[in-house]
Amino acid sequence: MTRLRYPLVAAALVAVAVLLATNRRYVYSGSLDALPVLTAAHVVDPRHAGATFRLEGRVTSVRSTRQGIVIIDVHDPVRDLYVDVPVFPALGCLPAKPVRGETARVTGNLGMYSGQPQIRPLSAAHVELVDLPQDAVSAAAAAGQVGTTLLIGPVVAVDAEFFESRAGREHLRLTLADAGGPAGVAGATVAGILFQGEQTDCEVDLLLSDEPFLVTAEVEMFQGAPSFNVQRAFPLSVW
Amino acid sequence: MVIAASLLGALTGIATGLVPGIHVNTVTALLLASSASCASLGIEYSALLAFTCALAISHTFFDVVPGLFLGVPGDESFALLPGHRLVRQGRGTLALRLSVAGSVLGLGIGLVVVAALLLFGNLIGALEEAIGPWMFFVLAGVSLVLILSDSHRGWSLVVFLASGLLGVAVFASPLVAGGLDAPVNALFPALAGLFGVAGLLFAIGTGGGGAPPLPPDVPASPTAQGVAWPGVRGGLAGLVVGVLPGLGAANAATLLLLLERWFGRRGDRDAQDRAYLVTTSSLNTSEALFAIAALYLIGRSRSGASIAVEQILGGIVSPADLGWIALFMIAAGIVAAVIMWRTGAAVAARFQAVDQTRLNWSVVAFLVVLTVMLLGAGGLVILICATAVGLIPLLSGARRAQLMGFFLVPTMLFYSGYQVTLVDRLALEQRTAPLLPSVTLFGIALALVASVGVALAVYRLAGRIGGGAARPAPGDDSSLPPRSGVGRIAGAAAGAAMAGVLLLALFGGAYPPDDVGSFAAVAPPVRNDGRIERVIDADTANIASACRRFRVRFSGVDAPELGRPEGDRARDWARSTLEGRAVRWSAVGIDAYGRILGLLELADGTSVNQEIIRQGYARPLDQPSPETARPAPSSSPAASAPRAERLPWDDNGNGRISCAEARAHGIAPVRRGHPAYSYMTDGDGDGIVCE
Repeated sequence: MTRLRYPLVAAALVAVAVLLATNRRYVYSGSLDALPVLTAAHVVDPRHAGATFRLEGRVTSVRSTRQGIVIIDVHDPVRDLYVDVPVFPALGCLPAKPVRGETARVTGNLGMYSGQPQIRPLSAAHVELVDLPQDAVSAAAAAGQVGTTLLIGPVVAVDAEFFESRAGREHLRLTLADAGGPAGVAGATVAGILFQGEQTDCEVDLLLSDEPFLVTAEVEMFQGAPSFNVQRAFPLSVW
Repeated sequence: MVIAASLLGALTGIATGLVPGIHVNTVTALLLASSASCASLGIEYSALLAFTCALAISHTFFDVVPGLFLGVPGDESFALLPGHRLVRQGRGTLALRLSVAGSVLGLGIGLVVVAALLLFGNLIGALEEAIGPWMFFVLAGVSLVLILSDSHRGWSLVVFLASGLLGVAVFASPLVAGGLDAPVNALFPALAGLFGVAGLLFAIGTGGGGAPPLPPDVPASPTAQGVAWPGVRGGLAGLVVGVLPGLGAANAATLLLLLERWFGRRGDRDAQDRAYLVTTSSLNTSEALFAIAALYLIGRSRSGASIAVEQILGGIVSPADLGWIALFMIAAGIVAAVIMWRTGAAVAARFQAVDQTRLNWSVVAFLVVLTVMLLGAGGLVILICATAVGLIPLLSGARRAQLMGFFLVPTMLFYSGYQVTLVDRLALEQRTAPLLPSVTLFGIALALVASVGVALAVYRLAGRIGGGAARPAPGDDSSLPPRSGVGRIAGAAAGAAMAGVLLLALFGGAYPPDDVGSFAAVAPPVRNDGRIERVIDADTANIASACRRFRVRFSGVDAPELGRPEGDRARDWARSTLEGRAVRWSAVGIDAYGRILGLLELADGTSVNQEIIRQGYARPLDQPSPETARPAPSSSPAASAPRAERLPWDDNGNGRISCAEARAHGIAPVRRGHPAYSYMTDGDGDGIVCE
């Protein structure tokens, strides 16, 4: 049977590749909207362990673990539920990282961790923010609105570099410009900064990519010129 | 009921251990899935706990048997060669008794170590926390040692990476609805394929009469000094793999073997074989124990059985629970040890008479049918892929322990801190198919009956077609016989089926959009029956209900904190009044600490929530207090803001309670000990106001 080992290795690798391919081909149906909304009665019913539910509520906190798990605490005031939503790194990048006070809609499986209920999202796209601002302004227009926090974009980073502050923290210095086309730049550039501790790896990857994106940023004056204090970055698909 | 469940669990563990290819995780997954229906049977959670713990331990006493006697390498294959050599020398009974001695020592050492760790507080948790940042390097180092020490390094690396890639794919796969959150999930076909079906098919493919028949068994017993040290080192090694993530008994056994080689072996080969069998058996049992004890020691589950225990106990494991778990394990260990010791010779003789090829075919049929019935075509795809990967070490000569890459690679990826970037760059994002709550006790019973029926039919059919076959010499394929016509046909059919299923999965849409419209039909019960098992304080209790234990915070009730006289008094009253009482309860919310908010009603219709307030031991919770308000991310519950001081009997809100207010609320005369007493003026100091 040893002569079979090379064909078998090839078959095994093909089989694993097929598994990965099936994963990428999977498309969720629209009927997920018909899933029930989680209630406390579901949590205590063993028949529903691992079953899929919807959860919508106010984000009460967002924190990250050392391994990159983003844990979003969601409070559904209608059903009086506080539920953790752990977003494991295996899910990939969240389309938009929620912040405290926003309303999140999550579709995921009911699980328990250390006695506390969790909704584990089916995929990263199943953590949706329902009250993102709809009107984005261009970088050029935003530069004139010092003192406000705005959704700005689509923009591209024409320059980006990490630097270390006097306190030893690593921040990202950016130069942003309005995206003129699929990968082009239009208009003047505006300086920006992303402070350490306020971003996920995915956001940094997005800022360092050549793709256009959106940011929420507070417009400030720095060394006599407008500067964006970037709080979050989104891919265009979120908008 | 608990004793009966413990005994039943021990016997079930013996049965699952004796059947090659059945992993204890499979049984506990089925158990968890079916526990949803056990409430209607009147089964207490403690019985389910006893069953699970007993099963997990007794399984480890017997899972070495198929490898020893049938030459079927399972995930315990690290013990196969030394043990099988003893069997081939006609010392099967001795091999079994060595294994029993090892398992007993592993259980004993494990219990002693856990008890010692309890005395040292959170020692293991602190160690795990300290290792946490270095976990990637620890696991990578272990993996490297295992690969480089293999005599087939190249193949070893191939096996490790292929199984690791399989792990990444399976953990992220939508082929099985619910992903790893499902009660019966993708781990079942993956582990069955890697360690079960692959070994069985290999044994079938290499069987055929080439190996000489076994000599008659000569019963013998091991000596105490021959088992003492091997048992101790195995038991201690079980602690390490039971607590660290991603590592299994196979890894630890291989590392022990390497250490022994580096520091020089003692004794002849026969002595080494015996010592190795004791060590691996001890390690296997202690790992099962530590994986469950890890729930308390580090607050994490480390095996399928520990996940089941965690769910049954509602995620809260106390030292008292640990005591009960130890008792159940000891009972199961005694039952399994006595049965194996007493019946060792008979078991050895019986296994010599079993037709290995027929049994192997029937177990393959059992696993395939069970997979299809529980998980559908997606489960079958995973089973086939895992079987293909599981066959690589058997055909290449690499150690089967390298298959633990299935767990190690995803675990290392997780601890690397770069998983999200890698997943994003390589488009390996996990997508989980939605899961309907469709697994029922009836469904599982039907699947099991059908699987066993097909397995029995295959056993009979295989006997008629091909007849029996003698057991093979594992790893020795120099004297392999030519494959029979039946074998070729079966191989071709299996290959065609594999290709068909894979093509269907890739191009045919093996997972059509889910019909979730019927989900609403499975509505949760409005009220649950249960029993108040233990009162924590006057507004929180453990309730045994629906084969689980729940910690329930009484909705709308705010009792004084423990440690204050009124808090302790309220708790004492609640304990004397409520503990052991049957209740009907409904869950109405989840508070900020994940506790279930419940409305409880005694059998006579009395509302527990209202009664506690009416008796004056707690006050209504009209608005969120520090106890139910969400804590700030950086703050601890103890650092919450002071609570509102409005008292339930203080109608005018002046912070004092007058006799008029006390009479209006029906609590007069108020005696010392009543929560309202400290807010009143006892003029004559006799302990009673408003006489």
